[in-house]
Amino acid sequence: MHPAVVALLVSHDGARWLPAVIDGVRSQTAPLAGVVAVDTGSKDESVDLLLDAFDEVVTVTGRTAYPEAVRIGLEQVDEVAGPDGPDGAEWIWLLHDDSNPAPEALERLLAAAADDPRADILGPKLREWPSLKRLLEVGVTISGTGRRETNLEPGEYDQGQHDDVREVLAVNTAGMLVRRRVLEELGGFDDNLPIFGNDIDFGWRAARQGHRTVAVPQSIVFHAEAAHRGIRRTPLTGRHTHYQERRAALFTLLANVPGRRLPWQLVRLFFGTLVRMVGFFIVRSPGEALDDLAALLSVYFSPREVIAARRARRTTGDADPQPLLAPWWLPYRHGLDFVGDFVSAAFSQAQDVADRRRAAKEAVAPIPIRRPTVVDEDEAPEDTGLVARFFTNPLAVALSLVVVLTVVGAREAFGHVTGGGLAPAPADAGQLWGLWTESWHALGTGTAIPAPAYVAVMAAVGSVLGNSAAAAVSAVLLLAVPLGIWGAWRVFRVVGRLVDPGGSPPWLVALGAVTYALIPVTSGAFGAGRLGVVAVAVILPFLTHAALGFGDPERDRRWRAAWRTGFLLALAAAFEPASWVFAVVLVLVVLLLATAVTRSLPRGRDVWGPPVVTLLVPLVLLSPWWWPALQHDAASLLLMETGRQPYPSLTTSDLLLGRFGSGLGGPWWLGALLVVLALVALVPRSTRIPVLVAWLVAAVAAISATVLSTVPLPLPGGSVRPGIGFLLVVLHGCFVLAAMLGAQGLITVLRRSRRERHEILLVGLAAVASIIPVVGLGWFVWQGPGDLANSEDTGIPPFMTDEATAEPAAGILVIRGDTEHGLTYSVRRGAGNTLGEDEIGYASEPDPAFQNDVRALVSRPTPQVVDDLAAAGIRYLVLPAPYDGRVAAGLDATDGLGQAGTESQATRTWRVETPVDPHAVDGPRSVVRIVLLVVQGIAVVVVLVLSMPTLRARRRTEEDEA
Amino acid sequence: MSPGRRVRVAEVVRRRRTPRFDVVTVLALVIPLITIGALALVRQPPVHDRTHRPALTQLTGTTVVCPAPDRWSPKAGVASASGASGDVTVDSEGVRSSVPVSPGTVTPVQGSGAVVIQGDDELAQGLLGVRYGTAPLTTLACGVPTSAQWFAGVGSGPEHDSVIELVNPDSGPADADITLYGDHEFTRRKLHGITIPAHRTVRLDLGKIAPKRVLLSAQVAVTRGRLAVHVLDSRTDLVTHRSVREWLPPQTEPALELRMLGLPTGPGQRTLQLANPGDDVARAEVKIITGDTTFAPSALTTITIQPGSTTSVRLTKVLARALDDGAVGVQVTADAPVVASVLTRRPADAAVTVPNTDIRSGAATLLPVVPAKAPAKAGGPVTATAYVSADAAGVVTVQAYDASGQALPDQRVAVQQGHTATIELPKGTAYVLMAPERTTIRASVVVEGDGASVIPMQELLSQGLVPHIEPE
Repeated sequence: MHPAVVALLVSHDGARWLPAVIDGVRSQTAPLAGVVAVDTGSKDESVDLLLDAFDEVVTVTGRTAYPEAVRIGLEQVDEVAGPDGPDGAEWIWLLHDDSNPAPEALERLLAAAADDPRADILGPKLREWPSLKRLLEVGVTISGTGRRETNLEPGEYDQGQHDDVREVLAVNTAGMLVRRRVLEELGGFDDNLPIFGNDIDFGWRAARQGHRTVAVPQSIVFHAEAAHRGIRRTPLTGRHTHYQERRAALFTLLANVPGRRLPWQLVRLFFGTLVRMVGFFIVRSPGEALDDLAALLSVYFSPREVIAARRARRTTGDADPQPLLAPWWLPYRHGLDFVGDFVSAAFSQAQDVADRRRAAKEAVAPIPIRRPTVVDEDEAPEDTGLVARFFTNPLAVALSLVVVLTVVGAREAFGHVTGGGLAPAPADAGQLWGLWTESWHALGTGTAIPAPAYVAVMAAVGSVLGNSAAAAVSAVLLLAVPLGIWGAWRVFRVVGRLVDPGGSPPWLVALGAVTYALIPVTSGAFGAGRLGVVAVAVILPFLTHAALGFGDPERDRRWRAAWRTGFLLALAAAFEPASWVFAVVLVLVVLLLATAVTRSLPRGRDVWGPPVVTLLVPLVLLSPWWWPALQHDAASLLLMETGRQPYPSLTTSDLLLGRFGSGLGGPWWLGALLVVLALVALVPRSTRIPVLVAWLVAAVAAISATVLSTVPLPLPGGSVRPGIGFLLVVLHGCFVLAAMLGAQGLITVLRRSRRERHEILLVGLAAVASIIPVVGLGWFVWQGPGDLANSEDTGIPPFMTDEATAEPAAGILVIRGDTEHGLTYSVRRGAGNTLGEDEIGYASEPDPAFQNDVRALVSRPTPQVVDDLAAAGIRYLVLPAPYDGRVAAGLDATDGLGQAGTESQATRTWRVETPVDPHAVDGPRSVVRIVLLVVQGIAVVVVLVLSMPTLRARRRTEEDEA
Repeated sequence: MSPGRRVRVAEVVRRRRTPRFDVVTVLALVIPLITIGALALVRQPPVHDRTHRPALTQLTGTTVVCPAPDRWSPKAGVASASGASGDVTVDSEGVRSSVPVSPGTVTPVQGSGAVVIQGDDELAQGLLGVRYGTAPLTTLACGVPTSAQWFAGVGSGPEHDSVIELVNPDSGPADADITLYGDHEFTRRKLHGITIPAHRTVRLDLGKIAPKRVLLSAQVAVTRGRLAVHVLDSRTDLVTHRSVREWLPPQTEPALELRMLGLPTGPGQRTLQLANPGDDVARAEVKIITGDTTFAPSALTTITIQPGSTTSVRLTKVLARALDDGAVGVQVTADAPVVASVLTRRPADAAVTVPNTDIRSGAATLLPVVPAKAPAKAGGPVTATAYVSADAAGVVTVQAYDASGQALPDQRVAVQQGHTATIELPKGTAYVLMAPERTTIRASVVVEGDGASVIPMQELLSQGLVPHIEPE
C-alpha cells in the first residue's frame, strides 16, 4: 500500500505547459491522495486550466513568493487529502507548472522511499523540456563560490550514466517528494529566497538536522526551467533573473556556512564576484556582470537579513553536510575549463572559414560539391607518444630547427638592445606608460606632442614581461620570426584551403611561412633596428587571418572578425601608421571591384558594416595619439616611419627586391628570385585567379607606396616622406603568397597528369622554393645583428646621466659639429632619448628663445645667456669629440659656466653654475588627453570583448521566443 | 572520308591554335605590369644638406693679454683701432681698472703681472696692446688667446734659456699641452695637462723642465679653456755673464712656405731656426727676399730637417752680404709643414723675425717710444721701418700717430707683386695702421735704436664668426 501523497502544484502564467503537466499528474501510476493547486496571480488561463483539472485552486497575489505559496498550499493539504489516511498526507510532492512528471515518476520515488526509510527528501532526475533527452539535474549541491553544481556536463544526454540512487545535498523543488513532517519541522522554504535557490537552502538545512536527501534517477520529471531561462517573468524575478539567482546563491552560502568560515567566505565571494564579472565581460554579457555585482552589494549591504537567517539556523541540528557540498577545487577547474575553451575558441575563430564557406555553399547548392579526401601526410599513428610523433615528423623537426636558428640569428636581441633606428628601452615599462599617458613631455625644452602609439603597445608587453621595457623590445625582436612563421602558417593554410578543398601540402605552406617570416630579417629591417617594420611583419599575417573572417557565411562571425581585424589593424597602425592608409585604400578597391562585378553596391549592413568597423576601430583605439598630434600641428607624425632618423629612403629596386635601403639585408638576388617565382606563379591556370588576387593586393600596395612617396611631411628639421616600410612587407608577403599558390596549382596539375617522374618535378619545385628561405636563414644566422648592439656610446659622462636621470629638469645641452660647417644642438634629459621619444622630438617645434640662447652661447656667450639656460632646465653643456676648439674656448671664457670634469679630454663639458629651475620643463595637463586615454582604455576592453568568440548561447528572452 | 569533312576538321584545329585571351590572362599580364610600373615611379625623399657656413658679425668682446713686465720690458700700452673712444677693462694680478682709449692714442697700462685687457662692444674691434722696453729694444705685440701656437728656437741651456708664460684670463681653469722638439730626430718631449687656474699666470722655465737642450721648438696647445702664451727668450754670454732678452712672437701653425720680413740691419750673428713637427724628413730651401726679388744664395744648400726635431742654419755671412744688397727678409720653402724663425744676435741685443701672416683688410701695431726728455738709460732714439710685400699690385695706406695721439703724415705706397716695399715711418711713431687696397699684404715693422726688435703685423680683429646652429 502506498503512503498518502498530496501533490502541491504552484503555477504562475504557466498556461503553455499546464495542459501537459496536468496530463502528467493525472497519468501517475501511483495514486495521489489529492492535488493542491496554488496560483500566484496568473494573467493567462492557468487558473481555468487548474480549475478544470482539480476543481479547486488557491489563488494568491502575483507577489506571493514560492515559499509562501508552498506554505499556503500546505494548509490546504488536509482538506484535499480527506479522511483516507489516519494522519492525513504523509508525503508532499512539489510540482511546478513547467515540470511534467513521467507517469512512473511518483511511483519510483515512493519505491525509493520504501527502500530507504531514512530518506526524508527525494528528488527525481530532471530532464530538459521540450528536448526531453538532455539531463538537467540529478540532485544539486553548491560550490564555495555559490555556483549551483549538478555534476553534469552542459547539455549532457541521458544515457543512464547517472542512474544510481545517491545521497545529495539538495534536490530541485520541481518533483521534490518530501515528508510533510520534515517540511513543517524545517519551516518550509526560506522567505528570503522567493524563487531561486530555496531548494539548496532547504536541502542544506535538512542535512544539518540529519535529514537525508536522495536523488532517484529512476524517477523522471521534465522541466522547462521557465524562470531560470527567463522565459517567464514574474514580479518576483523582474527583468534580472541572473541577479535573483546570484543573490539567492550568495544568501544561501552566507546563511548556512559554519561561523568560523564566514569571514573567509565573505572575502572570497567579493573577489570571486570581481573575477566572475571579468568573465561575463569577456563573453559579452555586461548585464550579467552587473547583476553579479548588484547581487553581491544587495547581500552585503543588508547584513541584518543574513544575521537573522543565521540566527534562525543556529537552532537547527549539528550534522555535518560538508561531504555533500561541492569539493573545494571545483571552481578552479571551472575557471581552467573556461580559459581553455576561451583560448581555443579565440584562436580557431577564422580557422575553418574555408570549411564553413564550403558547407554554406553545399547547403544552397543542389549538387554536393566534390570533397576530396584530404590525406594529411603529417598525421602520425594515434598510438605514438608526443615525442615520438615530433621526431618522426620531418616538418616539425625542420620548423623547430628554423626557429632555433632564427633565435641564433637574433642573438643581439637578448638583453638591452639598441642601434640603427632603434632607441634604447627605458629602465622599466612604467616609464613607457608614463610617456604614453602624460600630456606634456619633459623632453628638450618641453613639448606637448603625443608619444607614438606603439609606446602603449610596448608598455603593455613590457608590463606583462615583469615591468621591463627592454624585455618587450627583446621579445618583439626575438619572436619576430617564430611568430611570423606561426601567423603565416595559419593564414597560408586557410588560403590554400580556400583555393582548393585539398589545401596546400604542409611542406609548401611551411616553406611559404618561413619565407614570409624571414622578410623583416632579410630585408635588413631587423638589422637596421626598424622595430615598427619588424612588429608589423608579425602582425600582418594575423591581421590577414582575421580579415578572412569577412568572408564567413555567418553574420555573427563576420562581426567578430571585424572587431578582431580592427584591433589588429590598430596594432599595426601603432607601429606603422601607413598600414591604416593602405587598409582604407584596399577596402575601397575591394568595394569598387565588388560593385563592378555585381553591378551594384553591396547592400546589407552585415556585408559592408564589418570592414567599415574595422577601419574605424583604429581611430578610436589610437585616439590619444592622432588627436593631440593634429591639435599640436604635428600631423606629419600620422604618416611618419617610427624609430630614429634618418629614415631609410626606399628606391624602386629596394621595394622590388625587398631591401630596406641600399647596403642592407641579404643577397639582392633572393628578392629577385621571389619576384620571378611570383610572376611564374601566374602560369598555372587552376590557381591563376587566386594568384591574381595576391598580385592585385601587391599592385594596391605598390600604388600606395608610390603615392605616399610623393607626400611631403613637414617637420621642423626639414620635410620627410611617409614611412612605406609596411608596404614593402605587404608587397613581398603578396609575392610569397602568389608563389605558394602558384606552386600549389602546379602540384595539382602534376598530380592530376600522373605523368611519369612527376615526383622528380615535385622535388625540383620544392628545391627551388626552398632556396629563398634556406639562403635567407643562413644569411641571418651569419650576419644577423646588423647595426644592433647591446650598448651605445653617447659620449656623455655617466655622472651627468645619473644626475639627469635623478632630476628631469637637469638637462644636458649637447652641441655637435664645428663653426665651419654648422653646429647642431640637442637637449638630453634623463638617460637620453629612449623608445618613442625621438619621434616626439622630431615633431616638436624648437623653442625660438632657447634657440637664440644657444646661438648666443656658441658665438658671444654672456652670463645672461647662461642664466637663461638654467631657466630652460639645462645643467650641463657637452661638446662631444671632435669638438670645435673655438666654441669650447668661448664657453671656457664665459662667466657662470664651470668646467666639469670628464674622463677624456676628447669630450668637453661645462656645468651651469646658476641653479636649474626645477619646473623648467613642466607643462600644462591636457584634459583632452585624459579623456582620450579613458576612451582608449574602455575601447580596448570593449573591442577585445567584441572580438572574442561566442562561447555560449544567451539566456533566451521573450522576444527570442516570440 | 569526304573532302568536306576534312575541311571542317582543319577549321577546328585552326581555331584552337588561334591565341585566345580571356580577361584573366589579360589581367595576369596587366596587374604585374601595373605593380612594377607603379614602383618605378616611387620618389626619393629630399636630402637635407645640414652644413651651413658661419656668418660674420662684429666682435662684441675681445681679450688681449700682455705678458708680465720684467726689467727689460717694463712698459705696456693699449690702443683701439676701432675709431671709438671709451674705457677698456684692465686686469693685472686681480687688480681691475678701467683705462680710457681714444682714436690714435696709446694709453700706458700699469700692472705688476700679466695684463688682461678686455674691450667690449665698439672697443672689441681692433684692440691692441704692446709690451716693450727700450734699453735695449724689446717688443712684443700683445696677443689674443689662441688654441695652438708655435715657437721655433727656444732653449733650455745655461746659454740659451726660455720661459713660457701661460696666462689664463678666464674664470675657469685652462689646460695646455706643451710639446718640445729637440735637436735630434724624434726627441719630442711632451708636457701633458698643465692646468692653469682661473685668472692665474704660470711660468715654465724650460731650463728647469728640460735642461741642457741648446735648441728647441715648442708647440703649446690649449686643450681646455683659453690661454695667452708668451715666450721670453734669454741669452747669456757665459764669459761676461751678460744676458739679453727678447720676446718670441708666435707662429700659428706649421706651413710649407714661410716668409719672414724685417731684418735688423748692421752687424750681428744671424741664424735660421727650423723645426719639423712631422713624422717624415722635411727638406727646406732658403731664399733671401730683397725689395724687388727673391733669390737663393749659392752658398746655401737644401736643409734637411729630421722628423720631430729642430735644426739651425747660420746665415750670418749670407745675410751680411745680402743686407748690403737690400735684403729685407728670408723665405723658407719646405716639402713638409715646418716652423721657423730668424734670430739676429748682437752682443747686447737679440731680435727674432717670425713668419708673417696675411693681412686683408688692415693691420696695426704699437711701437716702443722713447720720450724726448727721457734719461740716457732709457735708450737712444728709435727709428721704425715697415716692410710690406704684396700678392698683387695695390696700394697700402700707412697712418702713424705719435705718443701723444697726434696724427703724423699719411703715406700711400704703391705695392707690386713679388716686391717688398720699405717704408720709413715718421720719427716718434708710437702707433701705426696699415690698410691695403686691392691686395693682400704681409708686413713687419723693424724698430731700431738701442738694439732692435721686429714686430710682425697681424690682421686687426674686427669680426667674429657666428656658427649656424639648429636642433639636431
